[in-house]
Amino acid sequence: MSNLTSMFKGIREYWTPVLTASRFETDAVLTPDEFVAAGDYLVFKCGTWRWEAGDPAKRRDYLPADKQFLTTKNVPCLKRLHEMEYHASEKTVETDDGGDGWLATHYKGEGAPDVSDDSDLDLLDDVAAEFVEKLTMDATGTSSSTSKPPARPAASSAAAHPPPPAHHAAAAPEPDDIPDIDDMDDLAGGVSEAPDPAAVHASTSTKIVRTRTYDLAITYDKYYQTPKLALFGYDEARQPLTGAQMLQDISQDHANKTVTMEPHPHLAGVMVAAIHPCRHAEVMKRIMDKMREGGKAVRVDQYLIVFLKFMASVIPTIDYDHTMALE
Amino acid sequence: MQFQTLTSVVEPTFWHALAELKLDVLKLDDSTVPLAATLEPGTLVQTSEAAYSSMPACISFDRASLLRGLERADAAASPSARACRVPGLLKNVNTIEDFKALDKPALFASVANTIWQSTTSGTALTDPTELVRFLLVAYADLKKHKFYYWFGFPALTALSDAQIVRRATLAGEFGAEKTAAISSIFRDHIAEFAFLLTVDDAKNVHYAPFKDITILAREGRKFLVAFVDPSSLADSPGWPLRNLLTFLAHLQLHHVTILCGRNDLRTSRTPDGVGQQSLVLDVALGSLDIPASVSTPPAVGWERHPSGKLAPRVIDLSHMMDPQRLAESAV
Repeated sequence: MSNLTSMFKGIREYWTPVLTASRFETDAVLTPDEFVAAGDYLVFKCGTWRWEAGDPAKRRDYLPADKQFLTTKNVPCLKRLHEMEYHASEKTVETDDGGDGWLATHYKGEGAPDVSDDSDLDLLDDVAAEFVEKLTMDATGTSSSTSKPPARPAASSAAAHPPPPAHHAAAAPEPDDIPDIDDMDDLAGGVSEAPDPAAVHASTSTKIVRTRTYDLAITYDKYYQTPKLALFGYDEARQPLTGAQMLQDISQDHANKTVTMEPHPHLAGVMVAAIHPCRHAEVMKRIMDKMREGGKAVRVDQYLIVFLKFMASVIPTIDYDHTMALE
Repeated sequence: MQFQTLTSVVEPTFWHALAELKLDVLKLDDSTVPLAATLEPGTLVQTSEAAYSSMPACISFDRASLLRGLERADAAASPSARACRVPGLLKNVNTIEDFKALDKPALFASVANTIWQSTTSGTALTDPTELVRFLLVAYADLKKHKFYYWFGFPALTALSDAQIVRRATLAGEFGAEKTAAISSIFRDHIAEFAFLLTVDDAKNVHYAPFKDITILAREGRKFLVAFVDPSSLADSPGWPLRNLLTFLAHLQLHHVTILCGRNDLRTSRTPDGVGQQSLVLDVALGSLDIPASVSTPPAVGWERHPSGKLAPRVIDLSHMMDPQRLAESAV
């Protein structure tokens, strides 16, 4: 059945470059118009998201010029995933020369079971079931900020599973690229300010948290006809993260096969960590089927709200708003 | 009264656009270029089961920050109306020696002077974002993909004795229903940076543009001055309020009610619901204190280096911009 489906998809992809007739109900995919409607609803429901036009040179003509992609910025990410949970299957994603490279590949460790289609489908079912359960909890208001990652394992289990190797925390520019502080004084040339009793500085206030942050973007993937999530992160000092550092904040369970570092689809000059959308429609379909069984049909304009709740399982420590109700 | 300083967040797209601007448009011209930034409403983050902390007060920069400088046919790419854009000035010099020798205090003073001119001439009435004017001095080492930079966010220090006489949460002051209405107004008018809210006899809340403040004050009507507050601290609003209060004092107002509009007005994801972070402050302004010898009141607000020092910063983007390294990593 799934072979048939994929064959059908291949043929359809060939004949219809841009999806025009809605196949939301049958395949949980979106036309560009439906993507825009879902985006409008998301912006209406949650004002931290907004439409952006992006770089005109990268404009897609099947989307309105001022509604090319959605973004939310400055989203906190307090902890690394390896601090929250340990996956036996977790492997360092290979990057070139000592970690400042950008290539993240599907890693299958030696001895790791080859993931077959069947177990993939099981995983999707698990994701969908877990998701619907969570959604029910959200709706009843028993938990306002669910999808918190599981608590840190007990010390004994932490010891049994050492944290990922150090080069996982890959590195910023070489130390000798950073001018020493004397240089900085030189560069500061003549600037002085008297102590200002009216100023509260983020660097010294104990009430202000220093944390990684992410800018998120939702783009429309014409090939898969689904939304696609892209991330770009900053460290505690607001300097850009490397690709390897960003991978620390993406769940290995769901994403170690499907994260790629790639140029932002709508902006020049930034490489983002993109969650590859090849299974998005499948998961969304399963989630929607489960919800329909539970008597809760998802409307097409609610697609992105459900999608963001689903994505929260992929980036569980990135603290964006995925708690909004469907209605 | 204390104010949280701004923390700059610069997207790599900004540096990429600056490199483009330098190579294609400015070339060796190092005169100043207009710039824009996005003021992000202040956000709390859950740090443990029951505890929340404040995120730094952020002002962010991306490719769109340089659109006017790039002078491209980017009209359709105008930034979202759902964001608060504020104006600034870029001084990008040609060499590291120029960067060292640059008279930074003079540039900073000139931006402060522009803010003071907007205050005294009243142009800030029609466009209150003028009160958030900022400065960026930079040197782009395009061969090494390194950028030296320093932001200045001038705050006039003419108003030293403003006091918060009463403080309440927005929801505590207005109740859930009106808070929801205010939240909707805030989202619609966030691009204006500052606007007014009036309350009619039926206790309904209405939007009014900032420039109506002189009429409302003359008629003795009650109003709130709402602004996009990048801070989320319970006791210290964000830096931009400082120049806004100076402007209100210049309008001869003595007591004002300020609404610090924060991220809880945009999202349902808040500790206790909408309107618990956003604050209503009754402020006794005091009077402006301007030394007779100066034409512009003194200003402070160079951004601190993360080390806490008064110094510029440098960012190395060779891993993202160097074509050779990109080619290597794309194998």
